[in-house]
Amino acid sequence: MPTDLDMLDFERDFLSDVLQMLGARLSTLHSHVDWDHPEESYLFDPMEHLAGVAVVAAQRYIASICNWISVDKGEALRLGPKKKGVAVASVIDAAANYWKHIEDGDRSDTSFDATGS
Amino acid sequence: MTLDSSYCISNALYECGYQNLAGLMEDLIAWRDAALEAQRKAGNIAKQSVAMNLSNQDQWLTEHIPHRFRSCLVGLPLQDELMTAIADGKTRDSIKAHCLLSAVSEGRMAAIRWLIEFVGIRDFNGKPGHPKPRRTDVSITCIQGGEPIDPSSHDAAILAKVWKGCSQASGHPTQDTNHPPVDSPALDEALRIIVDHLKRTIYSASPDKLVAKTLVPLARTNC
Repeated sequence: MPTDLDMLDFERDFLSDVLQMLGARLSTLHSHVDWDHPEESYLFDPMEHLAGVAVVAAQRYIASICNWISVDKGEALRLGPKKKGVAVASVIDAAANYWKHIEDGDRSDTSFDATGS
Repeated sequence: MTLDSSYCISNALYECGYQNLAGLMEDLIAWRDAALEAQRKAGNIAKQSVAMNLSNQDQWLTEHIPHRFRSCLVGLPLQDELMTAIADGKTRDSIKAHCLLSAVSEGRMAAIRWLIEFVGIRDFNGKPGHPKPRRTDVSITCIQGGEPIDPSSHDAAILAKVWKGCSQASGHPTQDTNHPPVDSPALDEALRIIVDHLKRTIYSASPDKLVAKTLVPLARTNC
């Protein structure tokens, strides 16, 4: 049920639209993968790209909320739902940073760490 | 969760159960609510963050919103349209003066905030700093001789407080911000600092030019 907060959370609407569009496209690509021979599929690269765009959009939402309610982002990333013991927000943030900078020429690491360690 | 593969974003989302991004938005909203609750518990956000009590609502309906309405009305055709039923000339003049004063109050805050940013200062969580420039922004540094005010200076601290006060009082609708004062003494002190800085920097070749170009009779301006 929408709350008063939802009515004011415009970024949520923007992100929801983006995720729906990207999710639909991901679903389409996913359905075209030959799962008997996934190693031959050329669709994983575009799917990874869409996933990257999605996490960057989600990261923007996280930043907008932190700014809106004046909470320290580092602390806020530890809050909320967890998956396998790790806060979802921190996974999204780390994944988005990784995606944004993986093609930077001076970047030597090719993994991301959502635990902050 | 540390991942290292060619498709680590996809894998991370998959491991979190967000295949095709399903469920991600819901979890982000749950995260938002958790962050908000944490702020409330820390006392940083009032419990009634959206809905006001009836007394406050009445104050907004009868004071804050009409004040902004008056401020906007000055000189617009709508002002005359709304006042057609008021026949008494003195009452009309008084209402127009009230609108003018409201506009002066709001406009003065907007203008001084503009000037404070122009000389390179704004508030960042209680501390003065340089505004983060955007592509289309203009600052004092764009003009020959322009130097921003040092954020570590006493003047910067004064300006940052006034910037914050004006932002919270006039930039957008807020309540219970307990903002720094934006009364005449506070604005006057800030404006003296700005004028002094402008004279010493971009107007240094002709320090009197600023006042000379400011105090111009109405007929000579484009207004």
